Order: sequence, then structure tokens, then C-alpha cells
Amino acid sequence: MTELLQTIRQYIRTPAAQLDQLASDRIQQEIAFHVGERTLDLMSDGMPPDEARLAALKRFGDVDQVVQQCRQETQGGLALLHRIHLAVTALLAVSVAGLFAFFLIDRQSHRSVATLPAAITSLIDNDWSGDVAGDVQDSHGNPIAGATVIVSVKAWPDESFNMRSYRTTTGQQGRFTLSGVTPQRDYYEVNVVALMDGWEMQSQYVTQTTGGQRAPLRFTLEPATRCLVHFKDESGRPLSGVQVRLKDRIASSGEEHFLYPGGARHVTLVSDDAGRISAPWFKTGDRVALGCRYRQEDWQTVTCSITAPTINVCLTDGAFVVSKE
Amino acid sequence: MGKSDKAALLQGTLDMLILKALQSGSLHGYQITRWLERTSRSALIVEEGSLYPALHRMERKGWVTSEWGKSESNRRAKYYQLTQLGRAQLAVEHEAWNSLSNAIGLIMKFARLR
Repeated sequence: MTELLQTIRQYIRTPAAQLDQLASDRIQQEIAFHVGERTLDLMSDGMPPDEARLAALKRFGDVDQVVQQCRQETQGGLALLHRIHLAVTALLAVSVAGLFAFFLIDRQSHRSVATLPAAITSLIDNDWSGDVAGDVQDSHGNPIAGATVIVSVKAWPDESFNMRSYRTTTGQQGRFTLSGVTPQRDYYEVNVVALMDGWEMQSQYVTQTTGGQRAPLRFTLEPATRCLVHFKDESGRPLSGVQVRLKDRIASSGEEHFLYPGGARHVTLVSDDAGRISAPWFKTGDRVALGCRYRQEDWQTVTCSITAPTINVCLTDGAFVVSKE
Repeated sequence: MGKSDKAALLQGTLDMLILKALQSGSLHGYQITRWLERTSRSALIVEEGSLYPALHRMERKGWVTSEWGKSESNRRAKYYQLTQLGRAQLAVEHEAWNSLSNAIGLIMKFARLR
């Protein structure tokens, strides 16, 4: 430590000290020459060398004082300027360090002010590397490729509720995998829907109390009944442009299948010019709930039983009503 | 002339005398001392110790420049040379000196008449 301080001190002094030393050396050389010349002159007048040397020195005066005066004249205020320069540089360095420290502390304080809610922190801190995987097949065990799979993951971080939904399709082998969608450490629930035209819509709702990975899911789908939904207005004219979304299906056996689309891209059907949509995901005897909207009105839930190949829905006074016919 | 009879230089005249000494060419410090002694016929005492601070001051002001060379005795010596600025300064100081010496002359003449 002492050595370091000494090195720093030397470094600070070096330019001024070097200048000083150089000036002193040159002035002394100059004076030595002068005294030497005077000594030679006195010797040539017959004075013994030692005496001549002393006389020359005496005549010159105080050598040290002259050196000091010459040095001051040569350097002028350079040494002082050098020290002022060093002081200003040091001040600037300290200021920059101070500003840096200030911004660092300021940034940290802002971070603490902007602390995220515990629920969000808990959500972020969790390890969301769990997968949801499975396959979709028919009752004969044949894979169904191209089926839409909508996965909704529910979690309750720090007593709050969070649900995120994802959408994918099955591959040639009827398999699907959604990676990095479930938490590894917390309780969560997953609703998985398999949807394929011509096949009954199915969902599976599973819970995972300990977090982590769960076994692959298997969907075995039965063929759906051909079903058309026909939208009309009060005058019996077809309503085109009605948007329809599947919400849930209760099979005749009582099995319930729900779809929680959440933020995932929904499966939305739109009625054609004849006011018709094909809804090929149900079986006769099912009770289904559909989300319906005409133009930009609010979504309404239309519940109906699949008893006939065509279901007629009439828009009366802004409300969708299933016709009995 | 004994030492006690020699006149000390008037304050402010040393610079002018040094500039005058260098007017004829570059000289080292000892040569300037000798030139002043010889030219004044040993009437003026140049304090050798005050010669060098004056030379260094004049160099800083740009009136003279210097370079190291070999002396007649083949030793390293520092030679001083007058610059344009130094010549102008010499003219100024010479003029001032003339005014001063004229004024002193007039005073002394007037004192003698009374």
C-alpha cells in the first residue's frame, strides 16, 4: 500500500520534477563553464589554480541561489500550471466517478421502486419448462393429423390467478407437444382440447399438484354427426357474417368438454351468404354452447341440443334464439 | 580603477546592456561579462550571479534564443543570440535610456549654473 502511494506520488510529481531537474542540470553546466573560464583567466594572470578557483567562485556569488533564480525564470509558472492541471484532472476524475456512482445508485433505487407485484415475480421466477404433449387418434387407433389442439394452463402464483393458452396442431403421427408452458414447481391445471372437423370435440382437464412434467395425454375421437347452424333474422332472411365460437360440449353420456381459448387464436366460424355454418364437432344428443356475435355486437352464448342435422338460430330484438322447428 | 570606484549598474539597465552585447553576434555568458567589462573599460561591475537569471528571463520573453556549442577552450557552452523581438526591445530601451540620461544631464547642468 505504501509502495503504491509512493508510486502515485512519483507519478504525480514526475513531469514537474523532470522539468526542474533538467533545468537545474543545464544551469549548473552553464555556471560551471563560467566559473571555469574565469578561473583560467585568473590563472593566466598568474594566480595559483586553487586560489583562482576560489576567487572565481567568490566573484560569481551564491551558485545555488543563482540556479534557483534561473530555474524560476525558465519555468515561469509552468510548475504551478502543471499542478493546477493535475488538480483539475483529479477533480474531473472524481466528478465522473461520483456521477457514475450517483447514476448507479439512482438506477438501483428505481429498480426497487418499480418492484413487480409478488404474483408477477413468482410467475417469472418459476421454472416454466414443463411440456404438454399427447396424441390424437380415432377409435381404431389411427392417428389424426392436422387436429387443432388448444392448451390452457392455469396457475395461481402467490394467491393470484394466471391463465395462458396455446394452440398447435397434431403431426402426421397425431402427436402434439407444447414445450415450456407449465411450471415445474407450482400447482397447475391444464385444459387440453382436441378439435378436428368431422370428429367430436373432446377436452381433458388435468391437475398437477406437485408441478413438473405429466404423462402424455391421449384423445380418442368418435366421428361427429353432420351439423349445420342456420342463422336468420326476424323476417326469416339468412344472416351472413355471424361469428361463432365453440365454448363447450356436453355429451349424451354427461361428459363435459370445455374450451378456454384465453389468449390463443380462437377457432372462429363465420356464417356464409345463406346464413349457414358447418359445425362438424358434435354428435347427436350433445348439448353444446356456442359463442355468437353479429357484426360488432356483444358476444352471446347460444345453447342448443343436437337433435337434428340443422339447428336454426334466429336473431330477435338483438338476441340469438334457437328455433324449436 | 579600484573596485570601490566601479559603478554598480543602475536597476533595469542590465537587460539593455546584455541586448547591446549580443547585437554583434552570439555570445556565451562569460563572453557577455567580459564584453561589458572591456567595453566599459572595467568601469561597470556586472554581478555575475545576476547575469544568468537575466539571460533566462530574456530567453523566456523571446528576446534571445540559445543553443549549446563548443567554446574556444573546446568546452560545452551555451550561446545566446538576439532575436527580432530582442532587437526591437533594445531599441526601446536605448531610447528610454537616452531620454533618461538627457534628463539627468540637464538637471546636472542646471544645478551647476545655480
